[in-house]
Amino acid sequence: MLSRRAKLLYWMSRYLERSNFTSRLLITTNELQLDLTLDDEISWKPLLTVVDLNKDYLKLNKKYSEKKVIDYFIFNKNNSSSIFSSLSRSKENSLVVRDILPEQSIIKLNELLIKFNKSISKKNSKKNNLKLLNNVILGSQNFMYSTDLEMQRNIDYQFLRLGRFLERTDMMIRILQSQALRSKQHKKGYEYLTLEWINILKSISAFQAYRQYSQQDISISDIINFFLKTDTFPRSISWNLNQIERATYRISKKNDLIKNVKEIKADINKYKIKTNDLDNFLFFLEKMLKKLDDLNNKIQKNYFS
Amino acid sequence: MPKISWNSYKAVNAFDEYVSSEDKLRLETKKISNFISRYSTKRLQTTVKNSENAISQRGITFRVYSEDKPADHYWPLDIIPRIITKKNWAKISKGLIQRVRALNLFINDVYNEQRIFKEKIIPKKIILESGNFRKECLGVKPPFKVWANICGSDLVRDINGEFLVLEDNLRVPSGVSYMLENRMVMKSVFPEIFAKQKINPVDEYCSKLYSCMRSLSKNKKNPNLAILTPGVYNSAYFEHVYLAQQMGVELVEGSDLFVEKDKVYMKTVGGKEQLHSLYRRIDDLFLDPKVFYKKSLIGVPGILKAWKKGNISILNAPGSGVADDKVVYSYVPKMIKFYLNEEPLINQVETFLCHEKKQRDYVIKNISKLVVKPANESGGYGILMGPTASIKEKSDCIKNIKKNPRNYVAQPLINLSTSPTLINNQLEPRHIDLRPFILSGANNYVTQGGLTRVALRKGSMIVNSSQGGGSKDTWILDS
Repeated sequence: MLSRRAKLLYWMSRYLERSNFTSRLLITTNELQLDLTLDDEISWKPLLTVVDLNKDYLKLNKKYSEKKVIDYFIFNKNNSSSIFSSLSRSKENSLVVRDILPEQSIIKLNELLIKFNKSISKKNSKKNNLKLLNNVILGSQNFMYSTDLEMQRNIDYQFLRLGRFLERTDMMIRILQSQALRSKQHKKGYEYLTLEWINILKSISAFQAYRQYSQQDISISDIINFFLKTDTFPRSISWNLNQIERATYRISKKNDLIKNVKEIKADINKYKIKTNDLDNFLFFLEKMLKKLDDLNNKIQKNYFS
Repeated sequence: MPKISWNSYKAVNAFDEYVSSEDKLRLETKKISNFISRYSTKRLQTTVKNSENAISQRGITFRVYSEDKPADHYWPLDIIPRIITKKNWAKISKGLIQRVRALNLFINDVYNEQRIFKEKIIPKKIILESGNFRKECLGVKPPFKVWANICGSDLVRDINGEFLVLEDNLRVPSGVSYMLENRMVMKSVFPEIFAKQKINPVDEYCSKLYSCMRSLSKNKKNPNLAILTPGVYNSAYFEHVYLAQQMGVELVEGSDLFVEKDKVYMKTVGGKEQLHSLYRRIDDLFLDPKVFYKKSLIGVPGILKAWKKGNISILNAPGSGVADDKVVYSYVPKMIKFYLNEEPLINQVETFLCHEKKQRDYVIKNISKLVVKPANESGGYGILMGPTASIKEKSDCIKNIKKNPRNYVAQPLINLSTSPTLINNQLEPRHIDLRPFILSGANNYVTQGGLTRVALRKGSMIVNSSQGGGSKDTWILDS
């Protein structure tokens, strides 16, 4: 496989996964708002913080409002994390590696883009936006499903997976960060804190799985452990790291990436969450993001240059 | 709502593919015409919509640059197919293979023995002065002595319905992916017709191209094959990707390749891998900055030497374009006689060569009746249509001819045949041509039909998609 094209495939996959998780994050924050009628700043600011876009957002807007933040995350062309940017880049890359991807996957991706572009031109109402976000989730999943069904398990496929799982791990950490930041803003004894964490589980469609896994009363530390450490749930960080490890191994048996992945895994397994020390938790998450970034740079160096 | 009516469809000033001069439906088109006439206008509109949706979902696009800005357009497909009988096509296929064999022998001769000059069939000067002659290729003998492995010849039908060759594209002819995609779309929107009619399938092309590329490789066991593209911004990128996908070969850019000890390698995630056969979709002059354009960023330094040493096959071989010249075209009937000792099985359009004084005088005198073409352009650029050109355009053209007579040829205006085309829910005759593709390697192959291009503007004869042309699926019918 050509280095240049491996890189495009990897990033295509990352961007698509990013659009999926960004949509999920927006939908659940919206639901949280519906349930708890929180202040806009408490609900929406953490989303901007975790992707380092607070300053950028405030250059364009005076205050945090639901509509403005959603617009910024869906449509803003200058926001590199917006769904518009993610999908456009994913599409651009797919044009170059189109021959590697199964025909059906390309059709699914095109369908997603056509739908997305159509809804951009529609009236920008809350209802339309939610529909659009659900379409992004569904469309990107359709794409992945068809690659899973129709691609050979060769190196191309491994790069696609590597991108997908690395991005997913990254986004999962940011989702945890966003809720940790939100929790910090509440006064002590805030009665709906557990409900907010449950909502975060729902954002990744994990509530049911969590209930099956944890046969105890719901607790925040239990939820966080489920996010971090379960080996059986496909959106937990630990599970994703296993997939990353497997993909790198299949790309080449002798590689120094596995060491990095193992290290992150060990950190995660060792970590003991203390819900009364959120700063420590946030610090830990930041460290994990840094290590993921190092891993990404190493992939870049080993295979793409 | 009114339906499509064949009674009101009338041919205009040209051979019509569906109706005779008495406006009666031809035998081979009866079934499909009857079928379509049973459609209500609404159903027909739905069918058009379905075909458009299929095209956008499949992402079938072509790129046009206007004011240097790229714009992607969805591929225009007219759902009324173009029909050719199998018997007729068998004759044409034979003629095309004969023609391409002669052209390949000619290219090989030009770069080797040069018998055709010695026997004074073609003046040497004309060929050596051609913008597409590459002196660097002298003495090279590609496998099977075949230079132009992929040829796209443009065919037209004159007022009597006779197929004539209008030009041979021997450099990097494009369009085959659209021919294949047109069929995919048509099958999805007209499944009932395909189930009942014996329409020859077109799908074989990519496997034949693959065999052709493989047959040229020195490594017979595990050859690495690739397509070389200038990149995503090229107007034919869709096709490059399509072909790589269908053949399962690598799609490379110049920067993915490098030459070491006269062998060509790809940069892969696992290190370097040798490449054995390369279908290049870039022009000769950009292929190797060490030999041709020094500033080319899309080529591979050193690849020409690797090719000359036989370490890599390049399709089409560098220098093939020497036969892709409208002056050379005029000599093809003579080549067929000279190399094969046969009579041409397909005729071509009468051509006046401006570098010959008598013919030039005729062209200048009769410019209003003629089509003047630059000898080395493609894509329909630089053509003067005498009958519709303004006085200024004509006088400019005459000036150019006088300045550089070698660079111009002229042909009588052929009223291209017409085929019914759906315009605002009604059928109207529109002019069409046909580009079949001919493969030559260890074996020869001609596509079943080819890409039918249609000039969508009323009365226009310009079929190029970059200039408002559309396309049709071409059905070779086993009647």
